[in-house]
Amino acid sequence: MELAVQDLDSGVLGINLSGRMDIIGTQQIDLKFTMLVSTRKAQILVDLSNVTFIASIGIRTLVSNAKAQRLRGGSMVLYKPNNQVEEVLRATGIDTIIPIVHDFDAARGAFASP
Amino acid sequence: MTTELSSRIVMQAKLDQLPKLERWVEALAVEFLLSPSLVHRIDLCLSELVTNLIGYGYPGRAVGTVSIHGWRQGEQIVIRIDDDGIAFDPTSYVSPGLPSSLAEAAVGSRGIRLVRHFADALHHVRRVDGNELTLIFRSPGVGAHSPAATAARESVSLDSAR
Repeated sequence: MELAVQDLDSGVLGINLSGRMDIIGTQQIDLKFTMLVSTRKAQILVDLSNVTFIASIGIRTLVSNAKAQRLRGGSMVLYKPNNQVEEVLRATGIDTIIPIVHDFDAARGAFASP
Repeated sequence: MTTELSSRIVMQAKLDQLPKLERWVEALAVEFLLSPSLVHRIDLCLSELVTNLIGYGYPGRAVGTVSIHGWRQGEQIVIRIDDDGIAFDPTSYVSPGLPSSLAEAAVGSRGIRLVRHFADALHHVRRVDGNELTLIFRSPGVGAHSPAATAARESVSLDSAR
């Protein structure tokens, strides 16, 4: 997997993930992702549009870091997962605890009312 | 060979073997003319189950062996996983409930829930020297994996977890 960082407008930190988020892929980005998401208060937009597959180990990384960011007073949203990735997220109820959005307006709304 | 359309892979239960499993699923998709949705369901279930085996199936042992056999049986795809690990029956495993809030959500333990959600049926047999797990996936075009069916399965799973 690959991870790229992008400063978005309104102080939102964009983290673009790409590749297959199985155990091998997740291990490749987990440390860097955790450093970016969990070490300071922020509004984090995790762009999943180039994630082709997600397994439970990838969900573990998302949940663990969303919880850590919430404890710091910030928030995280998941942006534009493809249909299959979103189906996996919804099957585990992740959409009820971390907002899934498909446009920036919805992301801004989610950050305004975490 | 169970039928004319049949494929098998034998692999060590090691992380570096997972790409080999991924390629096997891709080849199965081509050979069996599977839809992208069905390929994803098979891919996800095998990824979860084999990752689970690698992590927990062989305590105190260097490595185990996993044999996976896939075939078409009428309107369904059958995948059978044979391992030589410790006893584990995912059909009786009680998954944590769905989270009510981020604060209360468990960090992990979602793999078996995903397998139950994305496979249409699971059957486990404990053998003397390992486990035999059979997964059934109904083929597209026969109306198998409808949202209603998924909701019904989820309801049964949650009821049994109580």
